[in-house]
Amino acid sequence: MSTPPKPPSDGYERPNCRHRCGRGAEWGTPCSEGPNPDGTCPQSELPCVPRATLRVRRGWITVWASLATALLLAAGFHFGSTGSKRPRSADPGPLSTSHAAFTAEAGCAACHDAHERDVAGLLKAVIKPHGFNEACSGCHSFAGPAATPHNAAFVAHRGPQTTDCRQCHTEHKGSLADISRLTGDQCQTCHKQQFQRFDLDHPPFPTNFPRLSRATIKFDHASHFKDHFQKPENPSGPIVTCATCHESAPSRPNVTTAGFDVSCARCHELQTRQTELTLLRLPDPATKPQELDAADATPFMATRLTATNQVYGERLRALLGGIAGKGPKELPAPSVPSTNAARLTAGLSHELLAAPLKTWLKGEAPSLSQNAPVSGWYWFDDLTPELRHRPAGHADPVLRAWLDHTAADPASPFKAELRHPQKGPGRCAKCHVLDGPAQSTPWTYAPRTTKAQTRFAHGTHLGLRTCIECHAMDATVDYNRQFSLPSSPPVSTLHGVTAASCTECHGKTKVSQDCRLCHRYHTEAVTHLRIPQAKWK
Amino acid sequence: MSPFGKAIHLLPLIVGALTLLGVPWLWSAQARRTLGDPAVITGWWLFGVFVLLGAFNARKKLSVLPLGRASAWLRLHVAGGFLAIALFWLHTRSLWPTGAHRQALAAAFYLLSASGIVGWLLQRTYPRQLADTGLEIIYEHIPAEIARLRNAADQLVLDTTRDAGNDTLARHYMETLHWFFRRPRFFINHAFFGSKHARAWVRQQCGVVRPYLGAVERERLESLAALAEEKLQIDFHHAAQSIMKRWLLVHLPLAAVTTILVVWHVLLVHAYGR
Amino acid sequence: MTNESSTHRPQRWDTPFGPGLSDAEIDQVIARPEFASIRAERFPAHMPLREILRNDTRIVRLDPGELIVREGDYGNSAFVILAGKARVVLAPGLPSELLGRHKTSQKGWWQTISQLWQNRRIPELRSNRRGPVPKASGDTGFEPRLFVQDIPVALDKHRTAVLEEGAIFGELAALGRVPRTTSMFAATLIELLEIRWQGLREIRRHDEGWRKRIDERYRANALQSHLLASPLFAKLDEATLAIIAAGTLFETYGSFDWHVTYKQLQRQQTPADEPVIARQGDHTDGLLLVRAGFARVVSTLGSAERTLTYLGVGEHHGLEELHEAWKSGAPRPLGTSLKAVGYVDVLRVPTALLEKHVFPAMAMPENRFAAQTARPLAEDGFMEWIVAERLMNGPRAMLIDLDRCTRCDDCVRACAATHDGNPRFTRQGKVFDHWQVTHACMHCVDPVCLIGCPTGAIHRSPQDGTVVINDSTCVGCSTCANSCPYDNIVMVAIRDGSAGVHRDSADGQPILKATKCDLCAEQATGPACVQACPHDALQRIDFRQLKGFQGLES
Repeated sequence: MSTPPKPPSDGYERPNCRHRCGRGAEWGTPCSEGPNPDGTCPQSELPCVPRATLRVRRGWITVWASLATALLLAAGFHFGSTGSKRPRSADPGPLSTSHAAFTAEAGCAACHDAHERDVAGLLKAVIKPHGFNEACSGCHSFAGPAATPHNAAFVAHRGPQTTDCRQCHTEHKGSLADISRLTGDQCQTCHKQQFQRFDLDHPPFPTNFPRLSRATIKFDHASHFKDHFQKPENPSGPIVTCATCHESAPSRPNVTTAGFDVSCARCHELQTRQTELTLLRLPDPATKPQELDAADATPFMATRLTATNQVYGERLRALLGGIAGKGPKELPAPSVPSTNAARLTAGLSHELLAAPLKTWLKGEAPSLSQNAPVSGWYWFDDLTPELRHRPAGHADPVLRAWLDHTAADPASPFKAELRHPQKGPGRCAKCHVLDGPAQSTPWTYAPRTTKAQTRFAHGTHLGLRTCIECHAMDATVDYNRQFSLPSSPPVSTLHGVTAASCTECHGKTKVSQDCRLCHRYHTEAVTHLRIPQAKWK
Repeated sequence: MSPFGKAIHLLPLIVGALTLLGVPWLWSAQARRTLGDPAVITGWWLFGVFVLLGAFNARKKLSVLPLGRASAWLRLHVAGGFLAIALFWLHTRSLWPTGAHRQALAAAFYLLSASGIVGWLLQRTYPRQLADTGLEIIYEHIPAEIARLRNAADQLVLDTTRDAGNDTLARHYMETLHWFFRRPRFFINHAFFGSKHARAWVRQQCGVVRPYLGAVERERLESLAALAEEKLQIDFHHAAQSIMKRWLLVHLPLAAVTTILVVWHVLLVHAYGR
Repeated sequence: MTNESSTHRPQRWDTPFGPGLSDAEIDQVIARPEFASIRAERFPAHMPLREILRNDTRIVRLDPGELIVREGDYGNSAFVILAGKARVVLAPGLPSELLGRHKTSQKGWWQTISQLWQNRRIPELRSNRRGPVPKASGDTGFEPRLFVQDIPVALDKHRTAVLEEGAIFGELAALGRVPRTTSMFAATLIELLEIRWQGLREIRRHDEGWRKRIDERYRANALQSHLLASPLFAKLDEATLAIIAAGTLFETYGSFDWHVTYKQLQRQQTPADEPVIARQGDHTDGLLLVRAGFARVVSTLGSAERTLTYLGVGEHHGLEELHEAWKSGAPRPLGTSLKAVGYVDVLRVPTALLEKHVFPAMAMPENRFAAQTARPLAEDGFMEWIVAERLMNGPRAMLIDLDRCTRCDDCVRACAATHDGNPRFTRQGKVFDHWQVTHACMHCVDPVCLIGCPTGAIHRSPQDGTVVINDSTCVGCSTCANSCPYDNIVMVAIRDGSAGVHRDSADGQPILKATKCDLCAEQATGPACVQACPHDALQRIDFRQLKGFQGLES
């Protein structure tokens, strides 16, 4: 095989040499000595120009390329960095459309603290972290603190105690990016109960979902639909449907009822006028005060005549004298503010109240009108005349005022009389729950009290399902037992909604089962935007 | 020899590469699930692999220190390079990111990786072709060898002109082969197309003049053809060895540029993103 | 412009072997019976016997128990006992701790790291003086000073022989370029005349008596230990061994200076020219043991011969045929021929002795050349080439696989980095198919470069057998470079700090030093070339250990 003759040295024998013979570079015969270590030609006659070796040139190219890159970066950062133009050297990509427009004027500094600083400031920003929550909270406000889970002031069991907006919202992903995209796994990162998929193992809905607290109106769906609507005296009973009482058309999570007048008045209006409020009962005027019996008093009078320092008759005379003199506002207790007293005695004129009283106080029997009004205050003509109020109908304001007024009172016969379901004036307590601890009675239908994070749009579903398919009736429960004790757990005559109702459509390969379809992270549907004036463009 | 043959020594490399890819993958997936920042995790892993890749250059310069065999380092470098590409995609979660500075970094990284892969493939294909030429010559000695061949060819033609008494060969030589002997020729053809055209050209130039030559001249023509054949082999060596040496003129500066862009990226991300 | 500096060129006896014998001592030595017979007039004028004795010998006085020579060392001198007794350790050899083997001193970590910036730009820089003359340690400069601590115990544990006054020993190792075969220690207070082999060579050359004696002693003393080196005879008891040794014949083929004729006739030599030691088809009358050098195993192929493999020291030829003949009772002809490559010392152990003492206890030997015989012809080429180029001589040949080598020269750069910027090889050399053996010292088994060095600068390292050049004592005579059959030694012109070439003040010629690969013995990395190759293309190998190569695994 071949062995080439040993050629003259081209400095190859010293590979660390930084130059090669210039003659060789021009394809001539290199000299036998090679360049000197300092890069000069050792030949005195016809010296060549030694050239740098490939390795040396590689080093130069590397250095120059590095310098050029650094210069370009600096130039790209310094120039074109004001206003809307993102500096090319720091350009991380376009903002989403929601943010791009209004940050155009302020530029990067709208959110990034470090942007307007000099080099030293930039390096400091590298070392010292600067949170983003202040920047986001400059425009977005929430019902609670911005940096706690679900904006709520509760302590998270696991997961971070404070949150950063950027854990879920990442920007600079393009103008059409969804900046609040999350997967189910990410939602569950803090939750104790974790599951794999909604249609597989979502935690069971609470019992009686969505009715999680006691109703404010007692309405037994089961008994109404099974019994009452079927009675022959209710000719329109059988055609009652859910929609008769519930307004389902608006696409809201809460399907409100249409109100008493539409839903209940047809059958229950009469009942609200049947029983009257009796406040005063005047005994026989001829009876001596010492002989008057406290047992003859109305329960209301018993609340006003609690003092025991005098004989009952004297106290009665004193009370009635005071009422006659001062008028209706004296009728409730003297400590009651005048606005409340006015409501409690609305429609009761001084004349109507005081005239019989004055007559009685003189010892004569008062003369009363025989005709009772359709509604309102009147004196019931009897051996013992009574001051009564006849309710005008449902939601009579006077009865309502008296019920509100006595809500905080300790138990008393008067309070019990007012709240008797059958015998109470207006029979308010038949349907209204009046024994809760609240200061004011919740008169209206209270919507379900699920957590603020859950949402459901009835409107979009009612085309696909009927109400009864998800809210089946449960006739087996003892509905009324819950109203005998304020602390008893709520019971519903509708079966609680379960996930099974949902998974027929929401599941793998079916309609989306993403957490965010039914759950909100921020407690309000829309976070409030309060963009400062300066940023409006 | 194990039943897997030579591939068995790749096993620790493959296991190592899968681990180095699998750990950040799983870790970043877990971070994403728990609302952490997966990009920080994959970014620093990628940075670490990048530094290790760059350490190969340091190892080459520190040949006096007992740092392990350069062949092991090269294997790690190649495997690490592929790992870096996978980690890059894991980090960016897209083939082409948004934003000028990230695109610049991605472009530099892609070019660097491509140049590395191309260079690696070149280094695996050219050596055998060089050995197959049957000639072995050191790159720095090529100018001297070409000068020798050129002088020999020139002298041969001069002698032929003198001995034969006419300048047919000389004229043809000055018009064609003299150009050929001046310096390495047909670089691209030698480098990428198997020297076929170069060989054909020489054959053509030698053959086309033969009918015009006498016996003595033809003999000299054969000698000239032999010199040209030697020159072809040297030209191939020049082309192949040039490419194997100059490829690094692309790869190393790109590595430096990418390193600067990486450092810039790290600074930027930390200044703006925390 | 180069600056020139000049100094005095070193001479042959600038570094004498010791402090130099005084005239009185020379007279004493010449008066001894061993030297009395030498005819001084036979010696040339420029190399008189007295000067040889003055400069090439030294007188060494040792205490009892002190080691004179260590087994395994590549020694360069012979000894004459002037007074006292010495003991030769026959078998088993002394333990290596006793022999004081120590590692080549590797560079410390600071020295290693500082090479990164201290390598010099100027090639072959040496400081501007002749360099330190190797200092003698102790009175006589004799090394090693190691002791057998407990002589009676040593005598009890090891078989020894006694050497008396007037005994001459060590000439085998000195002249044969082989390691010391045994250890010797002083049995009593002893006074020795140590003759370095350059002097011994002169004496042997010019005096017939010494030549005969050396040759006879060579046969008599060396044979037993050489026989013991082979596994066939290692387990024999002393008496049997003596019988075998007495019957063993000693043969030499080829020429001692084979490298000279090899270089001259390289292209004309063919295997047909090589002397035949044993011929295929003949009935052999004894087992052949290679004692030194290399022999080629060939078998006929048509009208030519193909080389199956080569044999080196300690290997045998003909065992299988003899054993089979003994077992079956019918004589078996040799299956292969054995030819001398260059220079071969061969021992021939007669068949009768083998059949009586060795074969009964021996297992059936396997056919060692089966694989080579079955090798296809296409693969023979590599073996033929190796033997033709005499590359089998090198156990650390630099072999580059050209199919993997990218010609990046990282190997050369690494070699330069570890040698002050001066690479000790270039990536050039003979090529066969896709294998290249470059011009890097192979640290040959038969280091012909050692022949003729006037100062002993080039020598075999005692620890690991690498051939190294002591730069400070090298006089630049180029003998080794010219001897090397592979052109692996490069003479370089040394420079001083101003990059000028050192020149001899007398004749203005540049002062040269011999340089070659030293296997990076001082470096922490080991051979830097191997470490630096990124493609596993470069190896330092013994050819028979090349993977996939159907050599004879030793």
